[in-house]
Amino acid sequence: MMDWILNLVFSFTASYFFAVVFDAPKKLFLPAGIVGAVGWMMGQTFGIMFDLPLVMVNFIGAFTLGIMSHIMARVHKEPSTIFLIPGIIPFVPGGLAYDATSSIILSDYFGAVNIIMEVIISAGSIAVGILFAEQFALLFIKNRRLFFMKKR
Amino acid sequence: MKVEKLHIDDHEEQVKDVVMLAARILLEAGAEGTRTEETMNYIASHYGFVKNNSFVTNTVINFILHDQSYPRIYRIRERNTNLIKISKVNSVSRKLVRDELTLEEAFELLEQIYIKTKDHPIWFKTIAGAMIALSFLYLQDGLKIDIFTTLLAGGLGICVTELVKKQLTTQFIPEFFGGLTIALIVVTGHNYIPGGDLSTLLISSVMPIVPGVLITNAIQDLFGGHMMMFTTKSSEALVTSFAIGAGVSSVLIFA
Repeated sequence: MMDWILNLVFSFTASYFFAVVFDAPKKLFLPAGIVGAVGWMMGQTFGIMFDLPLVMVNFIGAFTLGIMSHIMARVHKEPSTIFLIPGIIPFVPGGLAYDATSSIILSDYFGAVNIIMEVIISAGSIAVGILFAEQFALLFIKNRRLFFMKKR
Repeated sequence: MKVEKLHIDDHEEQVKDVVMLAARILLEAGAEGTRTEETMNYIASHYGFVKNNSFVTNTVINFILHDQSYPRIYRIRERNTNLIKISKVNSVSRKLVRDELTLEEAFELLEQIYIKTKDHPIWFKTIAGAMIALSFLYLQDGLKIDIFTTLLAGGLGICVTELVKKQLTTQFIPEFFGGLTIALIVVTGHNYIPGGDLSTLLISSVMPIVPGVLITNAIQDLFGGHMMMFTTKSSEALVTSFAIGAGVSSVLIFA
């Protein structure tokens, strides 16, 4: 139980402070943090529940993130990128990329190539997740407003 | 840094001025190519120039209003990430299209955005970097003993990167020095507070200076069908991450 709460808190703070680093407007720090936390928690929950590999976890997380950022973009009337960018970074396979670099330094090229392939595939799964979310959002969000918003 | 004056008594030139300035602010703030081109076409077609065409990459803007007019080209020399500017230009273009602003007022507003919008102060970013590093220490299954080192390394890393970025417009150098600082602090801290995990420490402290905006925007441009922007953005991201890697590994070789 403690793990879940800490996961939630730290994924929130990560996205929140990335919004600071990338100079987002002050009033959007909180929504950006929420979007990031929701994406990360969805990925983790599904990953642990169904014992999924990293690629699927990344895909589900990125998909949720994309949907959330489009919803938030319509609610706050801001570009969806502002919410997407801080949220996506926890998924970036930084650890694997580091392992690849360090094995290149240690002249272990075979190991490095293996890890680099893994990095490319997990980055690709994030990209596909975002793409699906964007097209999915286009299906349901018409005329730049959500279905529960009133007509102007 | 200087903004050109708006043309007087020439509607077409005024439209061009507003469109070019909006695109310039967007690209210099690190927006995606699809968003920039969309905004340009949106504004121009609102004034009845339906046949306008635009083509932007990371470094250049091309824009033609209609077939019988002179094209405009602008070369973009420096870029950084600033989401406030993107959001503000977005709201100006929305208002322009809803006829709430005239061209003169819109140009004035864009000029204000271009000159007056400031980044968040560096001390704020330092704290943010420290907090990001701490969060990633947990998310990457780090150990409790490393908390102090990560906080210090993450904060100072982004502080050094931003300070060097203010002085130079080169691509490689700021992230290189950032990586160098982080690796120095992490290796020293790892020696004085033993028992931690060096690779987790390094990964989580490097996270604040990872080129996240570039990577995300490159992916979005790829799926938006904007291949040129994808190529230029991803090469920029590659240079940045290579700089971080070089900075970190030039310390690790001696450690």
